[in-house]
Amino acid sequence: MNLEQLIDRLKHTPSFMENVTHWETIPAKQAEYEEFPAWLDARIPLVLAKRGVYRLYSHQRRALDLAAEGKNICVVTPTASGKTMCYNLPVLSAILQNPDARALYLFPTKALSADQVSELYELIEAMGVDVKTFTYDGDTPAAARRAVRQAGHIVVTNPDMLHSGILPHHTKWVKLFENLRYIVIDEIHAYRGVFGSNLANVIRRLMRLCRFYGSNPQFICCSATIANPGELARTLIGRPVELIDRSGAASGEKHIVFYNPPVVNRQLGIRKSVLQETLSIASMLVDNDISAIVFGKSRLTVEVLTRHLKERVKDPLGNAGRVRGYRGGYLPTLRREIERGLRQGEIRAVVSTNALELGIDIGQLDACVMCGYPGSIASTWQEAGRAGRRKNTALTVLVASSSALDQYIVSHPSYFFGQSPENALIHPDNLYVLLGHVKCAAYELPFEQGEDYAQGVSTGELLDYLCEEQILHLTGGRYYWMAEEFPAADLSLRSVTSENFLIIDITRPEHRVVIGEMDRYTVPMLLHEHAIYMHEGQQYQVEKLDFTEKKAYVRSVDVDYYTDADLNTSVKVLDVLKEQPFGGGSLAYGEVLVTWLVTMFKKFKLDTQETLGFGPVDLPELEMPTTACWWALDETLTGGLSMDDLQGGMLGIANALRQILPLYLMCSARDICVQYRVRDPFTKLPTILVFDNYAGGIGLSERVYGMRSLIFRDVYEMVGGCGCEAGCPSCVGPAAEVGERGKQTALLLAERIMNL
Amino acid sequence: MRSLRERLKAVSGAPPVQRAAPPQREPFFCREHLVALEELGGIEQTALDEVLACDPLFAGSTWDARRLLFLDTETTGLSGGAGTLAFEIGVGFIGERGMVIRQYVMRDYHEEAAMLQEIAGLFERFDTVVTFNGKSFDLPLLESRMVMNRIRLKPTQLPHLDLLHAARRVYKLRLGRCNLASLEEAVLGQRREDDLPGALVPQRYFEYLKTKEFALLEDVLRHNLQDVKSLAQLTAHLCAVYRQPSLLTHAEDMFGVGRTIMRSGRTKEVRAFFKILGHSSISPQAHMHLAASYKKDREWADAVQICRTMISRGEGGAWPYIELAKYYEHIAGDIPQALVCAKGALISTLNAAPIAGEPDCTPIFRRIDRLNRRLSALQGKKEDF
Repeated sequence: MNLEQLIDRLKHTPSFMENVTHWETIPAKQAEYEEFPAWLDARIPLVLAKRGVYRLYSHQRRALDLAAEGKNICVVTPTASGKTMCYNLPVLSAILQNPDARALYLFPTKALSADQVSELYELIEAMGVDVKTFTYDGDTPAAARRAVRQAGHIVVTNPDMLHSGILPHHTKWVKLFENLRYIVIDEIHAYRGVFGSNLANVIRRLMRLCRFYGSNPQFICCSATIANPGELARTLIGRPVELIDRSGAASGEKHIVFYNPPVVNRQLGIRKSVLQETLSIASMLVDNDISAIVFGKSRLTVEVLTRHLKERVKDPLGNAGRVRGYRGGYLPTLRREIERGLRQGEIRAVVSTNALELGIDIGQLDACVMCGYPGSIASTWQEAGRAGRRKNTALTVLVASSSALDQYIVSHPSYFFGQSPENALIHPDNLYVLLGHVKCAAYELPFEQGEDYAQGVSTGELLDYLCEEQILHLTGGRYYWMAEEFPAADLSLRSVTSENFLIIDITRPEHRVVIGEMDRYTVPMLLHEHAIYMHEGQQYQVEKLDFTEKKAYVRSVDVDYYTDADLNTSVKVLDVLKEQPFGGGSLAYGEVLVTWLVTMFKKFKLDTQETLGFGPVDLPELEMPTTACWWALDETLTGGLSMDDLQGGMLGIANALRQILPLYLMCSARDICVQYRVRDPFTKLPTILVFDNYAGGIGLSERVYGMRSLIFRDVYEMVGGCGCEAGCPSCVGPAAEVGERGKQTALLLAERIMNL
Repeated sequence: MRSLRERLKAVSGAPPVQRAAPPQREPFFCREHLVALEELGGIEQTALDEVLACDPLFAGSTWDARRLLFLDTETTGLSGGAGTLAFEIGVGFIGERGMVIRQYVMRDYHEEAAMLQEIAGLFERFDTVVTFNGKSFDLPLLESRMVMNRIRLKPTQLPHLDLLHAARRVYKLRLGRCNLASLEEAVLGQRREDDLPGALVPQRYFEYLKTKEFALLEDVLRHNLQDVKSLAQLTAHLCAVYRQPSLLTHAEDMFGVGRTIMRSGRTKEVRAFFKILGHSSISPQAHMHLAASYKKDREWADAVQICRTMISRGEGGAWPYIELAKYYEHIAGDIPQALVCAKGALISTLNAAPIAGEPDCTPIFRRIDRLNRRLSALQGKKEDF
């Protein structure tokens, strides 16, 4: 069956359709074309014509026109709509007309830059012109760096390298800074949270240096669909931006299906496993040779799905290369190989984490299956965009998990399709972020007295503070760097540290192989000793974890279970920054220290997911300072409740908040954590606490503080409106977790808080 | 809610310190010294060919001792980024009565521009800069500072003799680490008393900035004065070494000189040199270079002779065997003999294994396999006849 036939068949299969809560069909769209603008260097249309491109899409033309007017632009169009032309053409034209002109390209990851640059190379080569494009990142050999600095017309790099490798050494890049004409920032939607706030500051520093060297570059940004691309771009670059968000590219018919696994236990509200259902839908696609991408939310899900799917397509010799896994932690060469296989159609199905959400070129596939709601509307569209060639029909199936957020989404399709995607939230003036970058900026170029680092930032106060700290020295009206250290080295742009652990396969002792890597924060969860680590569906047992050497030694095994670790999180209040009365208790916002400790792991049977046993984990704890807001509830709210009831009620409220807050804060569920304590050691009262899951905080809990008790009205409505008897995964959590009266108590608490 | 300042303190806490502003007169501090010519080991006798021998890549077309600018800087850090400054620049040049050494200090950051202007003027008055490690440190740093102060002069593009590289070529084998102090001690026979370790220099300057006690910088200036003086002495010494290598007393140093001369093409001289060294403690290295030199000039008989000598003395491990194997295979066309030598290489490698660790014999095996194939092909041909 081809995809059209399969779609038709599904529509007439009652056992499938009775689980479908919504079937959205987006009609096909014709392309809108425009001619090449006259000012474009004539060699460009000529070479494009040879490659079958005779006209531009309307959005490409608009991008070119606005760029020619000297505007900063942000292009938001779907995957495969030729957005790279929106920046490559103005840049190439500028360099062809003035060989001194320079451009800087920023991509969020090395993998992406390698991919996008190859397209540019092809174009330049086909034209036979002398436009030197160089990648400058951690992998650039020292010998080549000099040439890049001197002669590179287009320098391709990532924010981290710009921050620590280029800006602090700007005097070696005089040619680039003096002649910088365009700055291209692709995939700006990736710059949310701390990473985005950091990038905004790196751009501030970059522009400060450009002013010193007398250049005034223009920005071209590209984004996937989010609610506020224009606002995000404007905040990132600190200047006005023209938004181009109407795509002129053609697209085929798209089917988006919301699938809710059937309930198997009505009383407990238990549904069939999302994993199983995803697997059977994916298998149907694979069996019909329809190219597909399957998204799993965690590395573990990806590996479990890959293993099952590989099992399914295995030929008599055991080869299952048609199905591959893909996630962060695979080595770059392996990832490149998989990407190539997908483009060339040799790989028919790939199971991936959101690593493939970004614009890595894997060609277009026919179908997409999501194992669980990706957590945000933007991500969902981005992942769905992986399915659908220009003229062909595409199918996306979202399989809901039993989490309340998933259940809410599939049972309220109008919410999903009516709502604009999430805002990408950044906070460049976050004090932690700001202070680090002001130091870097002062190192790069002394601040003049009265100079503003950025609009609305009390720069003088920051600089005077750094003088008091004896890091800066004020003399002759300038603030000079007065320390031996290199400040960029102390500031990492990403919240996840770059220190990675290597995963070494010692199955054959004489032939040890590095099979992957993992970030420090995930290691205790997945690479503790005795863990079953899965890699491309193959199981390995962790034999030894060397925490100081950052190496995990694994041995290939074949067992019928996998492991998952239990994470203990504790929060200590360091400082109260804001406080207001809340009934007889209080609502506060402040700085906290979060500590994570993995103490034990569980074994689960592969096919049935039942628990087989557990074991201890002995690893050092991880710490993170961040910001939090907390409600301390006194007698007026908790009066008349037994200890047990209170416990169940607070757990219920915390569960409900976990599900509601991401919708309010327009962040991913991962960005924020909710905790509760029946007697908090700091407030000495029953306390519910929300903290930002980013070192230093990123302004989320501050907004929760600002909402005061408002959020509890939604808790009340959501819990009250749920049809379950005494709690289910869609509201306060199953009764087995919160107790028989848990739901009732949560409702009572929410009502009392509402009525404060 | 607390003020921004209080929050900043919470982010990283340390108490503030008050300090007084310094009195200002000249645009920057400058102290001049005169060092008698006799103390400099004959710098005035150095000549271009000697310098070229020291540094075969030396870019200058002339060499006049009176037009050299010796230069050494003291900096606020070692990171080499835009925030590192040279707060002290010591320069020296040969005048009528001896070497004039000037030490420029910026008494505060705002004096930097004027001090750099002065240095830029000096750069223009002299032909060649002489430094120790200036190629990768002092000159790029000064260039960076010039850019920051909008002075269009590129110190890295001036004719330059970097004594670190020249000295390393001669003394690396014997001394291992070649910093200026160890060279002074081992080569010039001078020992520094109460010298301020370089690593403490930036902190010393920051302390001075906070207190404006100029006395804090005296140690730095003394250290730098010795550095600049040593530049001239070391230049004179290295030139003398190349002028008259027989003055050297250490075989390792002679070997270093020989290798450097070889790069500038004085083949005959070098061979004589290495032949002498063939009777010293570094005989294996000398023989290897000697054989390589003969090989380069296709003087096969001599090359083979040296390899044979090495083998008879057990020098160079598998190296002479492999060289002979290559010669017999590709030049002499004597496959059986080549095979004998290749096997010799294998045995010698395996014999060295207990000391040298796990050997990688793959290339040798590959050679033996290829020679075996060629041998059987040859024998096949013979049978055809």
